[in-house]
Amino acid sequence: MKQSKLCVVAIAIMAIFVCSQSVSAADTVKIGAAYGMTGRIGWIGDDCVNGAKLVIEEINAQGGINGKNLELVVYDTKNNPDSARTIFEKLIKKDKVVAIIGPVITQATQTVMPIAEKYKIPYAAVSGGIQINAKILPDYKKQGKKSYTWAMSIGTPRQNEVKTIWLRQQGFKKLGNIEPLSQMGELSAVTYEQAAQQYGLKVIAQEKFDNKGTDFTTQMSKLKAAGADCIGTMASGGPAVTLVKNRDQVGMQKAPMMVSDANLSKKFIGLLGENTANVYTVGAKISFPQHLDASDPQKKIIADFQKKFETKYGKGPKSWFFASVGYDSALMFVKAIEQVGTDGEKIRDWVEGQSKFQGVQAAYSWSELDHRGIGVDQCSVLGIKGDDWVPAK
Amino acid sequence: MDTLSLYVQFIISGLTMGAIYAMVGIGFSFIYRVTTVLNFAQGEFLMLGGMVAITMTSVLGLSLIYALILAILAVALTGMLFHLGAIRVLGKAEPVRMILITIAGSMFLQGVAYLIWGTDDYTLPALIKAGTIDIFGASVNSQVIPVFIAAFLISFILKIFFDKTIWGKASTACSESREASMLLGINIDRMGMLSFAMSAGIGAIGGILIAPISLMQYQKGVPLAIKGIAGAVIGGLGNIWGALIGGLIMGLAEALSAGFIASYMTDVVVFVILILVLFIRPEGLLKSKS
Repeated sequence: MKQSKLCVVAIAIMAIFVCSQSVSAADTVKIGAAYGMTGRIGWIGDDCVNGAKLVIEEINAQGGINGKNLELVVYDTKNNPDSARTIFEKLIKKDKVVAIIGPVITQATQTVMPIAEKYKIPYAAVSGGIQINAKILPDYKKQGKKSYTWAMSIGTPRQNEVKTIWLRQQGFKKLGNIEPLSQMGELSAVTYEQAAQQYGLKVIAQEKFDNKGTDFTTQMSKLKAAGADCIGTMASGGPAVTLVKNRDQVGMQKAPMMVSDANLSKKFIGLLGENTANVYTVGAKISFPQHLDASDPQKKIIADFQKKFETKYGKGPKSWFFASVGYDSALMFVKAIEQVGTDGEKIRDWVEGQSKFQGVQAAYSWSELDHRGIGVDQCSVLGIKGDDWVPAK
Repeated sequence: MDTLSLYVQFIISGLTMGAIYAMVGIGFSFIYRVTTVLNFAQGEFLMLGGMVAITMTSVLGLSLIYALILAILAVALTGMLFHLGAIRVLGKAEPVRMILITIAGSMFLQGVAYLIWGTDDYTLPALIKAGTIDIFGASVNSQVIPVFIAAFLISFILKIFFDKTIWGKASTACSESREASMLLGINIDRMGMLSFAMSAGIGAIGGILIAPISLMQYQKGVPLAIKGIAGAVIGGLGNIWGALIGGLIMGLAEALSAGFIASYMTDVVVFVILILVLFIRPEGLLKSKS
C-alpha cells in the first residue's frame, strides 16, 4: 500500500515538473548562470548572481523581451572545472539556455570552452587569467573560427599595460619584476615585457617567489642591486603585503609597487598597516565611482546600480566589482537577444560588434580581437589614501 | 647597493627564515626526544599561536603582553589535548601509524582554524618599534631580533631542563627506554603530555613572533613545518641545538640559492642538502641522542 502511494506521489510530482518545464520553455527566454557559489571564494559567485538578477527583474518588470519573460537558471560550479563542464552541458541540453554567464575561475573557463563552441552558446566568464585577447582570439582568427568566450574583467595583460603607461608618465625607467611561482605569475611576467617594450620601459630584473614563503628580502635586494626604480607584480593577499614590507625594509620605499587588482579592498590596506606609501593597482571605473568627474555618465550609472542593489538586497555586495560583472554579463546578452533573437551565433556576433557598450563596470568596446572590452581609458591606476583606494595622479 | 651589502642581505634574510624554521624544529625535536613521536602537526601550533594572539589583541582588545601569554597557554593546552585525545588513545600504535595520526591532527587543526578564521590573512602589530637596522648596508627588520633571541633562549633553557631538572632527566630516560623508565616509576604518559604542552607552547611563541614579519593564515603552518622538520633532521633528531643549527642551515640554503641561483631552485637545493646529510651522516650533524 505504502509503496503504491509513494509511486502516485512521485508520478504526480514528475508530472507537475514536466508540465511546468514545458510551459516555461514556451514563454520564457532562459539565460544560464554557472558561477562557483560555495567554497573558499564562493562569495564571488554570489555577488555575480545577485548583480545579474537585477537585470532579469528589470527587463521582466518592463514586460520581458518581445512578450517573453526572462529566466535566470542558476547552478553552482563550486569552482570545480569538472562540475562547470557538467553544468554547461546541462544548461545547454536540458534547460535550453541561449547564453551563459560564468564561470569564475580561469581553469573552469578553459574547460567549458569546447562545449560552448560545439553548441554555439556564448558565455561571459570572470577569469582574469584566460588569455583570450593575447592568444585565443588571434589563433581563431587565423583558423577562421569563432570564439564564444568573453571575459568580463580587465585581465592581466591590460592591467599591466595600464600600469606600464602610468609608470612611464611618472618618469620611471627601470622595472623590477617579481612574480609568484604560478601560471598567473608567468603570464604577468610575459605581459610586463610586452608592455614595457611597447611603451619604452625597461624590465631590468626578473625575480620569482614562492607564495608560501615568509620573507622575500633576498629577491627584493636583487631588484635593488639591479637598480630598479619601480616594481611590478601580480602578487595578491598575504604575499603581496610581505613584498611591500620587504621593499620598505631594503630601503626601496620610493619605488612604486604595482600589485594585482585582486588587492582592491579595504582589508588589504588594513593588512599593510604603516606600509601603504607607493603601493598601486589598477581598477575599472566601478572601483572608484566617488572619484569620477561629475561629467562622466558612468558616475550616475554606478550610483543608480548601487542604489538598486542595496534596495533589493538590503545591503551592498562583498565586492561591487563582481556584482557589476554579473550585472554587465547578463545585460550584454539581454540586449543582444532584444536585437537579434535567441540564436547563439547571432548573439555572439552582435556582442562582438558593440563599441562603447554602456555597462556598470565600464563602457565596453568588443571586437574580433578583444573579448574583454575594457579599454585603457576605462581604467585608472589607484593608490592608497587613508583607508581607501583612490585614483593616482 | 654594493656587492658586499647584497651578500650580507642574503645571509641576513637566510638567518631570518632559518630562525623561524628553527622554532618549528626545536618543538619537533623536543617531542621526538621524549616520546619518539614524529609530530607533523608542529606547524599548526605556530599557526594557532599567531592566530590566537591576533584575535586576542584585535577582537578582545587585550594588550599585547596579555594576549601573548594567553595565546601561549591556550596553544599549550591544545597540545595537551592533542596528546590526550589522539596520541595517548592510540599510543600503542607503530611509528608509521603514529605519523599518520599526527598528519591527521595537522589537518584537523587546520580545519578548525579555517572554521574560526576563514581564509583571510591576519597581522599582528610590531613587537619592537625600531623599524629597520642597518648592517654593512644591508637592512634588518627589527622584528627578527626577538625571533633570534627566542630561538637561542629556548634552546638554552631546554638544555638546562634536560641536564639539570628531574623532569628533564626523566624525559631523557623515556626516550632511551620506555620500559626501563616505567620500571623506575616514571609516568610515561604524563611525560608525553608535558612534552606536547611544552612544544606546543614553544610553537605558539614562534607563531606570535613571526606574525608581524609575515602574515598569519590557516594554512601557514605546513610549509614552515616541512622546512623546520627537515632542519631538525639535518641537525640530528632529538637534539635541540641540532634543530636550531639545522633550521638556520635550511634558511641560509634557501636565501643563498634564491640569491645566487634562482628562486625556483630553492626547494631543490634545500632538499639536496637534506639528502646529502642523510647519506653522509644519517644521524644528523650533531649526533642524535636517541
